[in-house]
Amino acid sequence: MEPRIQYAKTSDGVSIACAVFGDGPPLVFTGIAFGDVHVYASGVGAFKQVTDALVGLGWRFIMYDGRGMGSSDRGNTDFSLEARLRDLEAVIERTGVDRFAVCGILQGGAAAIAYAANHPGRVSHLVLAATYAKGADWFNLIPAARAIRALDTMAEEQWEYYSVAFANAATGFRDSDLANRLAAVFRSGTSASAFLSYLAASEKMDLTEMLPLVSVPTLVVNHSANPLSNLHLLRVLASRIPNARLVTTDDLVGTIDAFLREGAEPVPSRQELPSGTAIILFADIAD
Amino acid sequence: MEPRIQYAKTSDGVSIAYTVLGNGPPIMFMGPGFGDIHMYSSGVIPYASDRIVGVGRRVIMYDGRGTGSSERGNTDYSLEGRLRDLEAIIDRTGIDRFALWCMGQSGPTGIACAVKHPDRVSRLVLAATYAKGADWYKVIPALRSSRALETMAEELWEYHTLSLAHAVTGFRDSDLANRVAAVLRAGMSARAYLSIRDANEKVDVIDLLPLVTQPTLVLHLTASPLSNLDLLRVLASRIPNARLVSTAATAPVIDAFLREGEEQAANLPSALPSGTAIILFADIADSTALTERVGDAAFRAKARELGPALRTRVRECGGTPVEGPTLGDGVLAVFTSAREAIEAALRCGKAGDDAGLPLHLGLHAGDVTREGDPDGRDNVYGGAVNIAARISGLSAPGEVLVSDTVRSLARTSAGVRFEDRGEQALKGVGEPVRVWAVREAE
Repeated sequence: MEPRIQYAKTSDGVSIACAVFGDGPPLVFTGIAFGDVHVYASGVGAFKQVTDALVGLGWRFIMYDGRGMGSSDRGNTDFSLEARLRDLEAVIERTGVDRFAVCGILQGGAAAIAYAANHPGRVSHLVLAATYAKGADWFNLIPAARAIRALDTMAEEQWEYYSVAFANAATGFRDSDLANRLAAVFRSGTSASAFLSYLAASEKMDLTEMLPLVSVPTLVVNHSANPLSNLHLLRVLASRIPNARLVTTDDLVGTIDAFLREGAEPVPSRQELPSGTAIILFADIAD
Repeated sequence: MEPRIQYAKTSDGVSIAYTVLGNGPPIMFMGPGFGDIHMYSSGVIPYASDRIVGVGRRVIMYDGRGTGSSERGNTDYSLEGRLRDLEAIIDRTGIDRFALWCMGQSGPTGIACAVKHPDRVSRLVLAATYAKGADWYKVIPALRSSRALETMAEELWEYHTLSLAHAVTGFRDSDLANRVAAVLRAGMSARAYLSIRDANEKVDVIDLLPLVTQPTLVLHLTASPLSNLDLLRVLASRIPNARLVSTAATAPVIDAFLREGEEQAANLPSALPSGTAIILFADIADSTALTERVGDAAFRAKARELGPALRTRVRECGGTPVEGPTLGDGVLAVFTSAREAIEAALRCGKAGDDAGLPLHLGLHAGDVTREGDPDGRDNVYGGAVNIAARISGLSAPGEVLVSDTVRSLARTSAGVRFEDRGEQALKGVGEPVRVWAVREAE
């Protein structure tokens, strides 16, 4: 399905492109590099498949291009955690969702963790896949991440070569044809300088201290097929988030779907509270 | 085909694995490096050398020090060290004259070898290479990036080889690159790789380029991410006898280039051997006096008639006459058998006597180098040729003199007897040479 792009305005005035797929309980996907709507619309890679599969299972999937990426305002390249949260908040406001699951993958983990920690009332479930608490750890431990940082000096001068090298490394040197197509999507998704700023900002982030403040049910997914997923870093998340569990799987869709269905109310049978006029009963235990 | 590996020892004591593939004129192939036999025999990437073997050439390749089946301990990867590897193979295989074909990081070594051994390297092919290592690592993105990742190489050798293999094969086939990476890991250690790369980057043979005298083919391999036209232009513009060709099909271009040289050399009806040969030198005795007696024109006519007759005698005895222009009225011929050479000398002597133009005839044996002269005719050179000429100068008209070397070779087979003429000092020859006169057997 071709995404219908809407725009949200952040509190610091940046236009953020977002798209909503499907109906049902909402799942907000925090934006990562190159723009999620942009990557989705290209059809290259697994992102579209995962999204479409979850939508097919009855979830409303909300995604956006973070600032500096895809169809969003490219001029602002403040990639700090605060700025990323502004993007996320603007999209939540624009799409009018009230209570929703939040999913953060890779560099999207930081904003997802911070948002869940600060808005426990709105976040029903938190899914953290192939991500980490401390950016410096990720860039040290993941060979592809370490490698791409080592190529920083080439990025602007050899943007095409750099993007190809990065795409091959990030997909585990498994399918150069796919990697080449992905690299083209990366290049049209952002600029070399914006990407470098994005990586540098990501490397500086450290959400370790915020982990104990996340109270919502949390699923930490070690995506075994993804060379950017590191079990050790994910264990740190799962062990410090009070209500978290860790799963190693190759089946993102099935795992996320099963987790979101857990909880007080079975999701699809929505015998929810009525809207409109109601008579309200309030009962409390007397002193 | 699974190569049969042999070993040569370098002057600094390193065992170098080499192999010889096919038959025909020899070409030394220095491939992309990191162990050419190792990479070739893994079969993961096609080697253009197979197609060169296929058109009837003998390809010699080897694993450089520290790689493949060669000794891994020595870490001198400098130009001098690598030249020692190449020289060890040249000496061990005994090929006197050969074409040299180098790719990528082997280029500077090949250039240095061509300059150092102009008598042995006949033609030079430089493919996807460079004169100055630092340039190469700067302008080729695949190398620049691999260079940038080196801090990870030892710790993450598998990852590094994967990344390197993808980069150098142009990110076009992950399957292929994964297999290449595995072969790279099996062929050398991370440390050896880093040392070789470091040595590559330091090398600079710019100053040697004007000294390359061989006809040189500079190849820009359009399909290779390691080939850079600007760097190749530097080579082609500074090597005096070079031409630059951009191509995706290496083997046919190289074959055509080598064939050119061979056609020039093949003006002779039968090819001259390089290597050890028995050399016959025949000159018309006292030709100045004879000229005065019969007159110039008459002498020229007789001499012209005699030349072809002598060459016919040479061929009848299995020898190869040399048709170079340097001989005046003489005849120079080479043989692979001392017995046949003596037989030919005797017949030439008789032909001279019959024509009224008695000959000085000398025979010596030794190494000769075959080379086309500027007119495209083949000639032979070497100290041994000079000695044969000097010995011939000592002979009485109509007499055949041979060096002690030739006598030793033919003593039991020639069916003649040798009369000792003692040690003779020869002009321009350091040591006296013992010479013998050939006599009919009793």
